[in-house]
Amino acid sequence: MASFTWALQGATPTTIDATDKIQFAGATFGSPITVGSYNDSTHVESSVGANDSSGNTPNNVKFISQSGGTSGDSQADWGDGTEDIDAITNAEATLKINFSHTSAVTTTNAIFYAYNGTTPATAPTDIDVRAFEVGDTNFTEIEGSGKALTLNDDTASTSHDYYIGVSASPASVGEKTAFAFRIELTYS
Amino acid sequence: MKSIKWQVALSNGQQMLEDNDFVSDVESSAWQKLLKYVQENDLEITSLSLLTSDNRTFNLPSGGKRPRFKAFYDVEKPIGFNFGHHIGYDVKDNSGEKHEELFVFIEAIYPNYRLQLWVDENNSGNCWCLVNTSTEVK
Repeated sequence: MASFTWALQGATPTTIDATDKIQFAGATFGSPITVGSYNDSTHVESSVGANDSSGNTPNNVKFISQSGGTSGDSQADWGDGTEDIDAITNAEATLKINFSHTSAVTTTNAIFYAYNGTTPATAPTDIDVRAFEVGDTNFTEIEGSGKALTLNDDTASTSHDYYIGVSASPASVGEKTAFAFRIELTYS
Repeated sequence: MKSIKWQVALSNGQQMLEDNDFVSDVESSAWQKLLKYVQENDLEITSLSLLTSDNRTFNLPSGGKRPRFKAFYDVEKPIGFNFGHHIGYDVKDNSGEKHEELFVFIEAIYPNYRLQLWVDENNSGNCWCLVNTSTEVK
């Protein structure tokens, strides 16, 4: 039996249910991000609008540059200043996605991306979304399945963890609702 | 309860069925056990099928040497086979839609492409074929 568990990391992890939203915001829950800027906070918003990550001090990874770091590395700030993203650790990443199975299975072809919530190949509307797996040197713009972030293959195990940093920026004014995340992988 | 199982024929004539000959457990999946058995005994997989609990069989082109019809002799033979499950999981603000999709696939590997057969594990009446020109097998 296969199952996924998503969590927004922080002082205490917040489980992200399938019908929740990963909310990218300004300084606080529900506050807007200026057009062209990136998130200053990240939250889990329930399907009824509650702040599920309140009190858990959730991590926030903010995109700084695509290639301004050492040897062209991307840069981000997860709360302790600008750094190359390959210096960000598992615990500092935005998301921990666990895939578990009752049998020890190998995982391959794992990808992670954002889309408009309806058609996986279609980018979210008016949002720049970038992500990396811990250890990567550069962000990937993950807008639609054709631009997915490739995740590492894993050897046989009953539990597989993916640590992902993700940052978003609005390209226009207004709440962005055509916005979903998806992970896919092969196991055998 | 698993409803779709793989079945293989091996180059020594053996037929193997998932859960009959190799059973998944916390140490390894049935498929990984099969691959280990094939490697340790210097065998090859010569055909690969999926069997559903309601007795449907999905067959890939065979690498066998004794097909019943001439048409099966004349076509290019696969050089390998592969099996896996592919799962997709969404986090999206719409409780009325499915958030998880699970397919099982088998593939016949040719020198320049892979022929894949995908079956929906939640509705084994749905099947798709894909030709993938990537020859990288994972």
